[in-house]
Amino acid sequence: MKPRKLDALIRQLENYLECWKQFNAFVNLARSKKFGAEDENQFLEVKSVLIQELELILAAIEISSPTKEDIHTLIGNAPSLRYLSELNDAALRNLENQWHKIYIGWHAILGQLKVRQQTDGDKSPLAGLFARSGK
Amino acid sequence: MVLKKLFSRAAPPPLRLPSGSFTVDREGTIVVSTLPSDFPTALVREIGHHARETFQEARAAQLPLNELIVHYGGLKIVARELRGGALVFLSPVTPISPARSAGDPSL
Amino acid sequence: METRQKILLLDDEPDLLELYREMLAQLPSRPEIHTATSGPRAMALLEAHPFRLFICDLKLPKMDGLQVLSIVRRKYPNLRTVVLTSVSDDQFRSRVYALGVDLYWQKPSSEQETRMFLECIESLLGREPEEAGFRGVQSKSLVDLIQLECLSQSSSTLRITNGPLTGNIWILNGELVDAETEGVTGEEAFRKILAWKAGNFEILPPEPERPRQILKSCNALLLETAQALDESAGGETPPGDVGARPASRLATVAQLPEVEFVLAADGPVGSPRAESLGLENPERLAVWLGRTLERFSALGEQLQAGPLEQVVGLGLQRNVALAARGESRLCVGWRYSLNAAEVRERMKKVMATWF
Repeated sequence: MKPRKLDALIRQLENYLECWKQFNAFVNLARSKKFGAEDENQFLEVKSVLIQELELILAAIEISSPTKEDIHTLIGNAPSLRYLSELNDAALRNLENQWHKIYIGWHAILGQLKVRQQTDGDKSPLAGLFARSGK
Repeated sequence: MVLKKLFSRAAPPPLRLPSGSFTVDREGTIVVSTLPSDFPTALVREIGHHARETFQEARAAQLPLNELIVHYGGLKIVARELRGGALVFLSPVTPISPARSAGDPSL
Repeated sequence: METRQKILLLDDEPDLLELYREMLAQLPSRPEIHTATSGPRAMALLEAHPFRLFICDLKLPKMDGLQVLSIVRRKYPNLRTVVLTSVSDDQFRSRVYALGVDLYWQKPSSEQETRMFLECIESLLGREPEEAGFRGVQSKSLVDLIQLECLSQSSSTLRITNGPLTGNIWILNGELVDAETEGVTGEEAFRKILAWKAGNFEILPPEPERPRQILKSCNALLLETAQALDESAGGETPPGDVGARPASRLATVAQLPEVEFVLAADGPVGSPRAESLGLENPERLAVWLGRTLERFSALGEQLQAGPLEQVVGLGLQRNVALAARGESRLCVGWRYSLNAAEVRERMKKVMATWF
């Protein structure tokens, strides 16, 4: 992958992970049972963003985990904040486990890409010529 | 009067306030958007740019923020800081259905 | 030469600390690993150096790991944080993520888990541009400082000056010992000092011989004082306290419950005339106030969204609300515990009397 594309993909994945954090923040909101109509709308938007971004990322790289099915299953298991707020503790924890597994999986992928970015950068014939000076 | 009518430009149609969201990365590139396709991309970019700049400048002024809510008469913009990027929600406000949020449960 | 990113590792078990230090030192990005075996030591290191990542155990002997993280998240919101724990408790995990921590990891027990853990750590490092010169809160609030001194079991004397007034707070081994100002001592003096919304403070050497007059714990006294301040700001003038009468509009707003600072500005956005209460360096914030209102006002016109009513900002340290009428601009800082709707409603009331 060309360096510029790799840089763009890393930025995209970083952005994606922050959106995954937002998903968890909404789950916590549901648990607290303090949410309104606007929060419901925003939760819906976050899920749409996650699904859309997933397609963009999968178009750029092939990954074995987390799978598209894992992600769609999780999103499908969280139809609304109202639904989540009415789940019992065990069910909500199970949902969080699913989220966590996906979240960690994406972090691992991002880490692999950053290592690749580093090793590609080290291999570049220009790496020595244009090394950044320390602050 | 006739000449005036012939040469006067038709007023541009009023912009429909959109409902939806988008994310921008830490370089300001729009990553994804759920906004209607007829809403100008340049405006989306501008909204994202303003949100990011506000977060950055607040941080520089020793006031780190993670969420920004901009209240207009007819629109509410909510921006969540994403480590340099932003997730932005746009929701029109009408007299009939004012946008409500956490701390004001209505369901 | 590229600057190596710094990781701070906090665990009370020295053997585990060494094991993880060696593991992390092998990361491809070759970060600099620093270690601490106690919360106070970790706090001191965070204060002294610009770390990129903080990895913390949950079970610590003197300071609760969650407490450490809560303070670290507020003081250094840009710092990446990871919990690395042997605790297997979903509830803890939820609480950790609710604090905004980046990752929660149970200590890896297999090669595969270790590999994945290292990949996740690497994901938090890398070429993300760091904001030059900003590591966290440079201007601390007095409450933050007292909490930190107490939690880190430090010994010091805090001298606070507020115009012609001076106060001292003595801390020994993390416990509040005494306070003094305006001819009073003990808890009463402590409350008076905390009621000052503005001031400068310096940290002086401890005075171990200072007799103890404060018996309550730091947290209990801080909470009590905060509650008492809220009640007195709710409208009643403390008896015999003529000085509580607001001398200016700024003071009127500053005395409202949960207001942390007030900033009023007018004139050119780039070099405004500003006055404030509760802020150490208002100039930069005054410029931000003007620029933010200007840019969103212009945006509102482009969007044909109607007049800009208010901008609310939520942060881990404090919330803010901004508003303008003509050239007159107002920024009020609110306690971080208020939600967005509460900030907006309270600001509306302020605006009604201000503009």
